[in-house]
Amino acid sequence: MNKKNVYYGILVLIIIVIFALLVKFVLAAVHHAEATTNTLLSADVYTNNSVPYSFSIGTSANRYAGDFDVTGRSETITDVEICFDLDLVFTSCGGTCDDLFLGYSFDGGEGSPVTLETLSGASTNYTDVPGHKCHNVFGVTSWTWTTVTQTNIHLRVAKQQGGDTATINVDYLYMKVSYTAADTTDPVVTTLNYPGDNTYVLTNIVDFNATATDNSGFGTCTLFGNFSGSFIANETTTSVVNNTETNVTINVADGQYLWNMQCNDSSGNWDFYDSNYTVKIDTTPPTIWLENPENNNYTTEAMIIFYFNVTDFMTNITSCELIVDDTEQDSTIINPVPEGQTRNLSTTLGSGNHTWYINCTDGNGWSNMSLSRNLTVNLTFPAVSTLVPSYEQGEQVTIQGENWNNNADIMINITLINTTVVTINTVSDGSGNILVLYNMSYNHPIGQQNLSAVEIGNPADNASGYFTVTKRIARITLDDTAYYEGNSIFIFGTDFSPNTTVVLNFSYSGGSEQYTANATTTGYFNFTYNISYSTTLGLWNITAYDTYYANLNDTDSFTVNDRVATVKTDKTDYVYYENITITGSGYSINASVQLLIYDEDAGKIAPGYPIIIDADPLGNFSTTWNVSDTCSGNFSIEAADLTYAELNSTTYFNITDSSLSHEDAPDSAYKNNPAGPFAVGFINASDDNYSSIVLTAKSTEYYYELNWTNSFTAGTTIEAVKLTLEHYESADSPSIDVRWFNGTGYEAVRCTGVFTITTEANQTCDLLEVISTYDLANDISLRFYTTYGTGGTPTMYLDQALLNITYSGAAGCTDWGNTAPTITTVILDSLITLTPGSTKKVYCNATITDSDNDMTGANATIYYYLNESIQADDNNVHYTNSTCSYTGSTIKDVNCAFDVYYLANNGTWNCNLTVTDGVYNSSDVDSGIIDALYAINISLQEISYGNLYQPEYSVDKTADAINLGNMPLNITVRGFGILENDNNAMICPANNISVDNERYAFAASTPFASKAVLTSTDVNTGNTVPKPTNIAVTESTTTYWQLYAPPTTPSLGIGKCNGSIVFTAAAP
Amino acid sequence: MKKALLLIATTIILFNMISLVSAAAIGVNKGEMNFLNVLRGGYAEDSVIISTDVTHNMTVDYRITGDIEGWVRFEPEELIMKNGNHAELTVIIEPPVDTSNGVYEGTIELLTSPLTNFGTAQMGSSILTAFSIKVSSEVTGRQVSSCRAAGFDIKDAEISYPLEFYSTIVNTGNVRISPDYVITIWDQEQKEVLFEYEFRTEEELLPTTTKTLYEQIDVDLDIG
Repeated sequence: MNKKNVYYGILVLIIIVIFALLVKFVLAAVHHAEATTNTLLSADVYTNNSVPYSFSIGTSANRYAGDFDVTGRSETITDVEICFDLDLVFTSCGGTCDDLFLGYSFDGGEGSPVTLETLSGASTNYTDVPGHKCHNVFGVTSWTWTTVTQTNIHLRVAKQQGGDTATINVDYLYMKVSYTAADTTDPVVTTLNYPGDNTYVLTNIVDFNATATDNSGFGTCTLFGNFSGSFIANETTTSVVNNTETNVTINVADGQYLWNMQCNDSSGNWDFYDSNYTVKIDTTPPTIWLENPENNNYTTEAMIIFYFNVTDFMTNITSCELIVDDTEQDSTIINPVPEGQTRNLSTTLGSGNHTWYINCTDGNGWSNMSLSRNLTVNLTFPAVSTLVPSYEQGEQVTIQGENWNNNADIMINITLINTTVVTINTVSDGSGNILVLYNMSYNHPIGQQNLSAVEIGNPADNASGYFTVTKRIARITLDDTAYYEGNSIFIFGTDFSPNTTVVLNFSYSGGSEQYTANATTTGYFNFTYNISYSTTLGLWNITAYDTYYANLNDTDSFTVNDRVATVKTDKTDYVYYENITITGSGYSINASVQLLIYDEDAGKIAPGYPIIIDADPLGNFSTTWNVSDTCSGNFSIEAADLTYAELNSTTYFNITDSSLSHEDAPDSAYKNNPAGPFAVGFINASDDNYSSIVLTAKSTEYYYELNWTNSFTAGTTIEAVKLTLEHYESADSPSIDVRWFNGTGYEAVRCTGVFTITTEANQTCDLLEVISTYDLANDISLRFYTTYGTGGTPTMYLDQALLNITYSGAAGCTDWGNTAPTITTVILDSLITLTPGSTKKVYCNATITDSDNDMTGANATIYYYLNESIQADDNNVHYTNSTCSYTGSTIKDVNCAFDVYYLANNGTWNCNLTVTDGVYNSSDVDSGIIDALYAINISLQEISYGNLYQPEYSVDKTADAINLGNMPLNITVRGFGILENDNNAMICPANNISVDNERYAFAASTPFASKAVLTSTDVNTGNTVPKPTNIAVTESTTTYWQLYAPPTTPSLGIGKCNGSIVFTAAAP
Repeated sequence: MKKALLLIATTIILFNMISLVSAAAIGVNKGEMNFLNVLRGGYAEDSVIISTDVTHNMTVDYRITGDIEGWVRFEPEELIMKNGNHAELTVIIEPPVDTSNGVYEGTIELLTSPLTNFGTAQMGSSILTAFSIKVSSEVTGRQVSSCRAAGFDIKDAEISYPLEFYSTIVNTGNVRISPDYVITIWDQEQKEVLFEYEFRTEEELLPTTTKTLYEQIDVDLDIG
């Protein structure tokens, strides 16, 4: 384009003829049930107008507006076209023709219409266009029935040149609006797929998904929720497909919400799901706050408790773990873990720096860890403690410590519960340990005692602790609660102080007794209290207390019951030879019980009684006594405790009448064919040694005669006389009858048990009918007669015969007579040491049982073992005491004393002791030894020579060396002045007499020169003094002594001269 | 009877004479002592019973002579006695370690005191009596350990009470000993050992000495 054209153009009067043709379309809507869009009938004011609307281009624009009436329309507009049927004719176009503009606008926008078409410079005829010239404007503008009615169609022609003319013929000018019928069916939201109702979503980007259906096309689906507080629409999606999941994704903060999906169809119908769903958004882990220990804390305890608090935004806490140094040490045991409150976990740590934190996990698996904290554990601090936490009074407390400086001075203070402080200083060892022993008394305060220790000079190193002292409880225990007199009470004491003396105080009604017991090193003691056999009965109390520690005491009590001694027999009536069981109880423990069986009628004691029997440890005894043939009567048994006289008892029994019997073979026998005596054996000793009688003559009496003699005494009752014959006959024809000699002749007696028999047998009959008294029984003569009256010569055989006589009364029993006293023991002094020149009392003693208590005397002899008891007394070998003393009743102590002379033989001696009751004697012997006795004496105390002048010889003085023992002696002599070996015989006032001036001889009138010289050393005199054998005859050696007072210079002086002579005896 | 009266009268006269004018009588029960197999540096003892007729207290001195002088000591060291009161003197012999083996002899003299203090005589000698015991000691270097025990006795005891055991033991060797005792208690039929107890004499027993031993034995036996 050139400038000329531009200018020209500017200058051209642009005539714009605007035709504004407002065409109102009357639309005949055709509704398509299938919602398809069809072209609608169109209409306007010029439709099929036979007269075209025409106008000429003026100098100004022309405009035409349309006004389409769409009242009541509600269908859906599916297409919009603006159509023309016009003819533009330029009638004058001076070079450049004018332009035709076709467009449309809406009410109020007429100034800037939307161009549909411009035609320039040429005539245009659209009338021939089939179906008119249309411009589809559906997609240009959003069409509604409102916009339709506001649409203006523009025709405008711009005049380019003044002379130009143009005519526009318009046949049709209209809008063609297509539409479908209206959709009123709501879509259906069939499911809310996810998130499910009441489910957790663990992300903040959440897909909300629903499925909807609709009979027509969907428009949108909108997510509704109260994500921001109100339940409102949030996000809308247009990507909605019928019956297909529709997803709306939004970012949702943690929390619990309601949601739903609203879906709209293209017709504006919509629907929600039937109910709102709840969704829980949880992306938050637990929140953990650490409480204790504080960060960078310091502790000296190994056992540490860690405190924390945990919460979770959406759900529960399922577990928490304690992590120390990246290692789990502890975990919670309850699920869920309570939130919002202090919880704790614990562990034991060693010394060092530790890092710890708590890790917790919620129900959705979200875990979180707390902040980490540092903790320093120091277990190596100085410590003091006791070996065990508790001690009993009196025990030794072991105080120990560790982690002290090596070899440091440590002061330990024990603050007792009574505020007393006990200080113990010690020194730690090379390893920093301390060990101190604290000995508690047995009355040490009980309770908690505090310990403290500090290093002297370094107070920073200190420690404390405590221990407990428990009460030591002393106890006494008795072995029973009730005792009898004479019992022993065993008392056991425990937990008294060691080695103490425990006082035992026994108190009872009317008195008390006190004893002491020594406790062992462990405070234990045993004490036996022997209850007297005559003591206070009833309740006794015992109090035991420690003499060192009065707090160690205990009490107990027991009962003392009366001790009653009894003796019993197993029954009251006995017969001959029956055993009586005698039992006793209640006697003293292991007592010696004297048992006496006494005939109350005769006043006699059973032979051998009394006896001494031993009770057992319970004071019981049991023995038996056989009645034997003791005569009947009333008897008693007395049992007496020999130690405790009050323990005695008597019981009574009877021996009833009983009979005895004895069997005897005949003392002599005789037969009359052949006539003469024969022997008959005792029936129990059958020897088949028959005696026979051949009955050679008929009607002749043949007989055996058997005789018995007895010695029954007056008072004897004969109770039965049974004859037994062992016999037989060779034929049964003889007859046998028994006859008894009645003093005048043989009288037939009834003895039906004896009859003829051809086979040997024992036949018996009782003859008491005739032999009924003791005197008849003392002399019995029986004959057995046999006779026969038929032919032959039968034989009568007799093998054995006896009489069994049963009797009672005086001869049937034994009356107790006198019994000899018996010696239980004899004891002679075992070693007898004689007295020089004198007598020595020697004892021979005995213990005697004198049942009858009728002992009349005791005597004894002691005699040298080579001699006999029965010989004359001799002081050397035999002594007699005919009147020994004795005391006691049934048990006697006999005492025999002897004055034994010094000369009694050395060696073994016997004592033969005899006791007698006047009828019976008993003797026994014991032995002892008389020791050797070497004894000497001198007949003078001093040899006095009188006054001698110098020189002068004294007259002889005699001195006898006497043997006062039972052994021979050798005699030696020596002399001295004042000291042994001083070679002096005498010490005089001015000088001494030498020892050789004193001499001796064994013969009288021996000249001085011939005498033996006295020396300072022993000189054997050569004489042996024999053993004395007679107390009236002295066995001695006589020495004759003479002193010579020699001339001396100086002289002996005036005064006494004295020396010593030693006579020494020795065994030869 | 007349003879008896004469005898009594004579005795009385004699005793009066002895007691009034005589010296001090002395009597012993041994004339000699023989110590056999005494170890050099060892120990042996024996005892002698001494008697007198002196009515007041009198001192008896000891006098040792011979080879054994210096080896011997006495218990008691000082002996005072009187009539009716026999005294037992223990003679202890302890040969030195360097003593040669062999038999050594000597005497022990037991010497009475004078009954007068130089009396009334112008010139006179007091009379002393003595008894000399011959002593023989065989010293050897050979140790002999030997003992003899007897007198075993267990007293009856109540149940639960300890048994009291007694025994006499004599050291017949020449060295000191502490013998071991083994006590075995059988049932009455001697088929079963019910109790066995061992102990050692706490106190050493010197050679030639005798000791009565006592031991309490805790047992748990039934009555029987």
